[in-house]
This record gives sequence, structure tokens and C-alpha cells, in this order.
Amino acid sequence: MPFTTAVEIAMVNVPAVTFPSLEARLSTREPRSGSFVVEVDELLLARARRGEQAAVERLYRTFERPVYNLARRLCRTQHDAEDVLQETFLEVFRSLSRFRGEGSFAGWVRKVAASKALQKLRTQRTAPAETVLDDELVECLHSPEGEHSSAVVRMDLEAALANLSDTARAVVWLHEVEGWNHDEIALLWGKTASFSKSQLARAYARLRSWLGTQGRSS
Amino acid sequence: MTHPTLEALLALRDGEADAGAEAHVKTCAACQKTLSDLVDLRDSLVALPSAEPPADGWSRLQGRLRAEQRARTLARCGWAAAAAMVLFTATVAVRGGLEAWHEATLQQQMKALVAESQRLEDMVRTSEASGRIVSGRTAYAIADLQGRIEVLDARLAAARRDKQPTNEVIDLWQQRVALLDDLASVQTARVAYVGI
Repeated sequence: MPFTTAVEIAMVNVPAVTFPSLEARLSTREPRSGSFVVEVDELLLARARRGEQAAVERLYRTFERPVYNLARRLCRTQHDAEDVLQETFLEVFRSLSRFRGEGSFAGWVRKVAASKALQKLRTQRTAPAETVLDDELVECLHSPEGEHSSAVVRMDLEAALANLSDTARAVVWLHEVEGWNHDEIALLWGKTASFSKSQLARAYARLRSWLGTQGRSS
Repeated sequence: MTHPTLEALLALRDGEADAGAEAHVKTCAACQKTLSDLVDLRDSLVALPSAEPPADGWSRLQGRLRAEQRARTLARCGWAAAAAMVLFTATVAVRGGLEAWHEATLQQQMKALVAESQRLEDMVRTSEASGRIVSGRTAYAIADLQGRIEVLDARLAAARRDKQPTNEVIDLWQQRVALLDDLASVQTARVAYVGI
């Protein structure tokens, strides 16, 4: 049985809207490669619970990429992301005997990873506030589309994403890429879903502003 | 014309919008473009390449897991050792207490038996000094009892080398008291008979 949560199912079954030009694009959303949508064998879990090193390593290898990627996107530095990777798996393997299969294993690992990443951000009291991009970067981001290679567009997006506040960046990544719903995200901060929705909308407004798309629409 | 908020358009994109926002977007080219941008931006985010995990991630984790395992084992050994020490101490204390109580009881018993023995010996000596033997059977009985007491005395002398009284010594003293009691009875009867 694949370990797919309701959220992950929802990710690939977004209800269609009625206007045809966008309908197809809204209704199809494939999970990204290297995501947490992974099938985990119950037997493998049982072997890992007994402490078999080969099974423990296989679980690590299965989830190291999605865990690290999530950590890298939420944390500010590579070093912090590596810490989160270690802390996540230490917690997972310490608590493996307590995991009784309520929900998917992948979903549980994802939750632990997100929680550890947020803990890391909270411990950094000297968090830099969201800043206004400097003129040079804004100029680069606003250059004519024809001059942008896909690599440049990607770097624009990476730079803009990194410039968001810790909370906004985490909400954007968890919702847009990892497929968390607003209730799940709000739970991480101990707030309501409207907190997550407004954070996402504000982050999108900034991203569109920095990436120069706001002038072309309402 | 009032356009839906960005939050409402995001909700529409995610299939959570209300009918009003959806009806507006159907007829508003600007909002359709915004919605299209929101989809584009999400697709661009999803298409960002995965970060490469550190090559030494597993070896570092393995090291930490082993260190934790060792710490748990040591902690368990520590608790086991402490528990064993407590058990040992309690056992020694209980056993020591029982042994001391047992020893005191034996001392008390022996003291009483020795006192009784001395009382009977005095009685026998008094009887001996009082008169002659009048019958061969009585003389034989007295000699037999005295012989058996001598054997017991020899065994008691050997046992006295141990400083602490034992059950065996107490048993010997009890036998001695019983023989002396018999001897005293025979002597008393003889004296009484002679007196007649």
C-alpha cells in the first residue's frame, strides 16, 4: 500500500475551474521528483524497528533527499539544513518504535523535518528581517524576458525566495511545493488557517513585485 | 469593478474559491492573467532543482546513532550495577541481622544449659557425700551415667575450640543436662534409700 496522505492525494487532484484556458493547468499537478510521495514497505519498517542497520540505512537513503531539500529551502544556510537533516533522522529513528502506522510514514517524516526546520529558525534570534532587494538585483530581475535563460529565471526565483522572511518562505514552500494545506501549516505555528492564507498571499505579492509580474495583471 | 484579492485568487487556484470570485474571473481578463501568473509561479517553484544532500550525511548519522546506543547501554549497565549493589547491601544487612539474632539466641540457650548443668552437678556432689552404694544395679547405673557424661565432656572440650556456640554444642549440653538429671535422680534415690 503506498503511503500517500490525503494532502498528497489532494495535490494531484486540484478541482478544475470552469474557464477553459486555465482549467487544464489547474487540474493537473504532479508531485515533484524527490518529494515525500514514497512507498515504504511495512517489512522494512519492522526490520528498522528491530535495529537492523541495513534497513535503517535504506530508510535514510529513501528520505534523505526530500528531507534535506525541505530543510535547505526553509533554513538560511547549508549548515543549518545539514543540522536539520541529522536532527530529523535522529528523531525518526529514536521514535520509530512509537510509530504505529497512523497516517503515512512519509507524512510523519515530513512533519518531523518541517518541525525541526522551524525549531532551527526559532532558535536564531538574530533573524534578518525581510529586506528590500537592492537596486542591482531588482534591475536584474526586471530585465526583458527575452534576455532570460531558464537558468537566469530560476536564479531570479531562488534569489526572490531567499529574500522572503523566514515565515513567508516556509509557508510558500510548504504550501506550493510540498503540498501542505493551510490547516496543516497553521498547526506548525499554533495559529489558524487564515494566518497561513494571508502569509501566502503577502509572499506572492512580494514575489510578483520582485519578479516584475504585478504590472501585467490586476 | 472590484477584483478579488490575491488571497481569493490563490484560493480559486487551489479549488477553494467562492462562487462570486469564480464568476468574476470568468469575465475579467486581468484576473485571469493574474491567476495564470499564480499558476506559473507555483509551477516554477515546483520545478526548482532539489538540493543535493551532504555526501557524509549517513556516516555522521550512523556515528551519532551508535554514540546514543552506547550511552543507553552504559546507562542501563549503571542502573543494573546500582541495583545489584543495593540488593547486595540489603542482603548482607538482612543476613547479618539474622545471624546476629541466631548467635544471641544460641548464647542465651547455652548460658541457661551451663547454669542448669552446674546446679545438677552440685546436687550430685551433695548426694555422693551423703552415703555408700547399697546395690550393684545402682552402682552400675551411676557408673554408666558418669561414663556417658565423660564422653560428652570430651566432645564438648573439642567443640569449645570454636568461640561461637553452634547448634551441635547446644545439643551436647542438652544431652549433658539430661544425663546429669538422670544421675542426680539415681543419687537422690540412693540417699533416700540409705536414709531409710
